[in-house]
Amino acid sequence: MSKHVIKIENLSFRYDKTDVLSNVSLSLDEHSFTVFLGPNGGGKTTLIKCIMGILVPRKGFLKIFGQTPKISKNRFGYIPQRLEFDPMFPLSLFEFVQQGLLSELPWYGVWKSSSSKKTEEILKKFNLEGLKSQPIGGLSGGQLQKAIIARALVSNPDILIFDEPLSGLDFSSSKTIISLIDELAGKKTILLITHVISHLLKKADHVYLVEKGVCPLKDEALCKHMELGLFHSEEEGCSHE
Amino acid sequence: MNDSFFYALSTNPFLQMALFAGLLASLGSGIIGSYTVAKRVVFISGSIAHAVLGGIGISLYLHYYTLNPLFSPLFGAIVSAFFFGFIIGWVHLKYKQRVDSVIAAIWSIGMAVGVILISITPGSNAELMNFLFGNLLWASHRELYLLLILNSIILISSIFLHKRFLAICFDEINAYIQKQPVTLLYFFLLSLICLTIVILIQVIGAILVISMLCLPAAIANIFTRSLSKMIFLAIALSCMMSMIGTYLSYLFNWPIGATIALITTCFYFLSLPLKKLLVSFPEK
Repeated sequence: MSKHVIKIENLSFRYDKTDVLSNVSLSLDEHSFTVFLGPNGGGKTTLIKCIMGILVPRKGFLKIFGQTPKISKNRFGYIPQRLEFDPMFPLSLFEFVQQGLLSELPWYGVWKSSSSKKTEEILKKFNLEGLKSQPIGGLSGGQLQKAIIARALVSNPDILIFDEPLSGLDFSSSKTIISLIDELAGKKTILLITHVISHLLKKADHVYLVEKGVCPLKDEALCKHMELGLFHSEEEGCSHE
Repeated sequence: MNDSFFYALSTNPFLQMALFAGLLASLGSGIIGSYTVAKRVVFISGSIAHAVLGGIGISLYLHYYTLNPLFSPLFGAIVSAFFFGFIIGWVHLKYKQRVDSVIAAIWSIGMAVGVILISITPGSNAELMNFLFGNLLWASHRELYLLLILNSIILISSIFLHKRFLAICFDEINAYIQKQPVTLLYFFLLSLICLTIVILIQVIGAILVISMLCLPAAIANIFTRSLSKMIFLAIALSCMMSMIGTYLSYLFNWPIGATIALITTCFYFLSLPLKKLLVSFPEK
């Protein structure tokens, strides 16, 4: 029997005096694949930041595995929309991926051998082991996106959150990321945020439109939105906003 | 000339103390400077370094009128460094986009209060000069012990917290998701930066603090992409520049703090074409 891993009731959030989310309610089952679709500025990223405990909602009920986000936040693997950093930052790819295991770092600040082993394994799985000593600023866009996903997966989290994972990627890198999400679907609870209609939607158990509130989108409604051109379609060759 | 420098070094306690103080300061600045450069908070450090004059001014003023020995320039420097450091840290966390203006405001108010109070406190102009340009040649045993204690705090903290500092310097959101106390770590790192600034003000003076705190780390960053290696290289470079600076200041009778800052800056500008040369070398 599937259980709710994320349960949200009447959640509201505002930046200064602008309501970004109001009265959002939804439940996500274990190992389900959910897509949050909606226009830019609709509140998709704000909603996931509330779910991860990065932002505190103004009101509402939010439980992750029956606990507050603050307690269960390390059960998430987060793939951000954009990772802004100084290209000169002194960090190797290995160190970068290992940062996905920070919650396992002992108080005395020396990595356990098991953490290094897990990092080696995930780098191998992503065909990045040859680049492990490379500085993070020297990676290509596709390699960096793979590294970000590897960092999110290295701790074997229960919930994976992809925030616009295809944003700014070329065709071949997008294909790699899509097949990776395909592979993970059904094995992990996946939350995908996008404003691009892609064939990933066919895999999704639930599709929600996020625009201040959240409403479930059925197939017909999705087609309607596509016809109206509310979102961009990859298949139609449209680019990102 | 060389002989006379080494002879002076073996016989002159002022020169020995100056060199020793410079080397001790290099250790702390190499470690904390690397985090400062990696986290890109160089201008926060500059603001704190200059605002500290306000604390020194208040301390000197209170000491003159109360004769309380607690109000020493060092006490004022430490208290004001932490005070301004925490204000900047709080603004950075709360209102990220407004931190630049706050840096400028703190820089100005600290200097302004300091200059006014020092000018109305009789007999404290020498303190102003020491603050601005450092007083390495007058480093006392007490100051050396203090440098040793502050360096030990920096060294022990960075040994235990290096991985966590690296994490918050690179990606605070990931560190937060990974259950790290990001705010606490940020303020602790800021406190260590404040301590290092106070150490360096004793050695090189507030005006030149940034050169010794950040430039050896910035040079190291040009040649390595690992933070641990960058720290070791920055310490080594800082020690080397302190020694060369002390030697040249003895040779030409220049102010020691300014000479160290000049050498550090020259090395920084030379390191940029040197890196290009090293990168192109294997291709030829």
